[in-house]
Amino acid sequence: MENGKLLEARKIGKRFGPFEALSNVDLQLERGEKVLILGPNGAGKSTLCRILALLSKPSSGTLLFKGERVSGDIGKAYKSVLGYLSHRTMLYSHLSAEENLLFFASLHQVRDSKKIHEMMDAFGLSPEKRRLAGTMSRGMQQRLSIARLLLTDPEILLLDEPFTGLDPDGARQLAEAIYGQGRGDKTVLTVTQDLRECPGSAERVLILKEGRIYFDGQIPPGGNLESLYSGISDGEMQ
Amino acid sequence: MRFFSVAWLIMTKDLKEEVRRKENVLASLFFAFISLVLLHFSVDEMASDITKAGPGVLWIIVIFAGSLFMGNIFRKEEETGTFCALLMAPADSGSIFLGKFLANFVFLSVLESFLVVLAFIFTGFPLHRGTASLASVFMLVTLGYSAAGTIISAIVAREKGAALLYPLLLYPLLVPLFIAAVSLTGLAISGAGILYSPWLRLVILFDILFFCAGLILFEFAAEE
Amino acid sequence: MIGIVRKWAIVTTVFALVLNALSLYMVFFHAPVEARMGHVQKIFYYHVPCAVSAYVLLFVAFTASAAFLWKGARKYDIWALSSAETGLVFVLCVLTTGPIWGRSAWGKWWVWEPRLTTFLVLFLMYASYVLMRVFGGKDPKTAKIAAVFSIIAFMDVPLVNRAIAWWGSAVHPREVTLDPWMKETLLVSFPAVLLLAAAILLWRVHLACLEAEGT
Repeated sequence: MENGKLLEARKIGKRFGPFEALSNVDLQLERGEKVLILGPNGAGKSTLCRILALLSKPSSGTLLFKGERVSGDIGKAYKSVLGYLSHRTMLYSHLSAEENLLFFASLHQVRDSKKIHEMMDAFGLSPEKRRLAGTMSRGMQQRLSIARLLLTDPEILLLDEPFTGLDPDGARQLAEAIYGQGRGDKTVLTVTQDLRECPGSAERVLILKEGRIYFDGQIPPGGNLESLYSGISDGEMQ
Repeated sequence: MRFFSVAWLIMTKDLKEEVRRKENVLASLFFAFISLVLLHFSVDEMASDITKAGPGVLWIIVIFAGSLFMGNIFRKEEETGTFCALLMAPADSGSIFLGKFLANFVFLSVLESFLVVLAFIFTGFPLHRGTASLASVFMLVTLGYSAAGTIISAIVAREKGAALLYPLLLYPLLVPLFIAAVSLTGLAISGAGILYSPWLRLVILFDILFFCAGLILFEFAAEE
Repeated sequence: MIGIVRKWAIVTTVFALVLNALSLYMVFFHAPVEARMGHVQKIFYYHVPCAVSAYVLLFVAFTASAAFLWKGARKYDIWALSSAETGLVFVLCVLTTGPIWGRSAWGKWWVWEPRLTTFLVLFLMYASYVLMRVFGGKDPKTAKIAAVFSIIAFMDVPLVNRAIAWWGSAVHPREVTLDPWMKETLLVSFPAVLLLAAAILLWRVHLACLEAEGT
């Protein structure tokens, strides 16, 4: 029976020695939600993102996918619908664009080779498909990274500061790819530092500070995040 | 089956990548060549029997040259973030270990063949005696070296000072394998049979232990 | 856990001190002076128990590391680190007492004798372990990979032992004939050293617990 909540994090905590990066974090994601995670440096945003991506094990707390604990087979099922992007390319610099995509497609059991070529067309990579990823411009690398991300058609997207190092064009293209038409059913969680880059289509915002959630709610009408954010930074808890 | 296909995929990807990258492979092969030359000067050919000193020299070079390649096999993935991408694939982490192990094994085999041919040409190292035995010795020892090297490489991939830590952790572990390798090689080239040698059993035991340990423990070494 | 550890540490220390005092007396006044090597031979009463203690401690490290990987509880890591460090100390004891004895028995400070050589390799392995933990600091990732290494290292120990023994078998056959009074002395010094090892281990664990709590 499918539980309404797609992903649930209960009392997640993460310690690095004496340092508590996250404590008592509760988070629920429903299908199709678009969430932003904001917070000052060291708030634990990346740590949380990595835990949700199963790249890091929490020191305490549990992760639930469709109501069941993420481990073993459920873990595999979760991984197969997950997509993660960070500011690192996650590409093999000595493989060509096409080879990179073929590799990740095989790894994720995407058998349709047509899909790979469609992806490359969609992101304007086809003319350069033989080009080694390491010799590409940053903008093109990012497009290839996105292509890699969307190749497996993940239901849940976890993006850790994906706009870093992108020029406005690149940022727009990324936003379009993630939030654009046809992506309505995708659940997207974006960690970002830069308030200006908040894509308009994100509905909910989570503000982390010092490892705890300080705010979790709808983005105020008009999308005025600045005041909301500074309000939180000054120590007011909502 | 998926386990093996993922491992194969990773192995072929790594080999393709390294051949294009060239640095690690060339550094390793060139290092082997120059070491052979330098070590040749340190062994007085008139005074000592090549069959006594030869195997030791050969395996020392294999260990050092091999490390130049194996030490980086996970670190390079960590730098580009592809290590994360691999771990996120819906596959057993053991298959990642197997894939890397196979890639290392193939490379080491190439290195050893190269070195052995050079040794034959330049130092008159008697390879033609007991070729079958020699080939099996090389293969078995390489399996063990590859297993140990791969798991230690995974351990140091995310640590500071990995370049220093890798040999520090790996070389003491290799002591039994090294002693066995040298002894068996000596036996093989002197024409004696290796089949009943206790050293052979030691190598096989080493191979099994380290391969299984690697498969099981890789997951712990890789997660954060 | 810290309370229990402290209690046992105190108990063990008391017994260790008593037994070691008795042992010292017996080593110097009960056991006869060996004909060929003289007084230096008496170091044997510590050399052998140190070696056994080292092995026991490293086995504890192995078990604790496996438990840490399996269960993830911090306390296992504390035991793993403490026993590996204490084990290293005893390995060093073997490496110092051995040559002292060796000098009088064989005339040279170092001989590539199987057991000593094995301990040399052990020293290299566990010194690397300790170095790795010192460089890694408090990062829990370091604890995990150190545990992996500790398991692999210990698993390798019997292989190291066998390999060096076979290689060096031509070098030194070891025969030890023991006078009954020597046997008695050894029967006391053995548990004395083992208890001392246990005491040091427990105090080290105690210290690690304090460090963990204090943060």
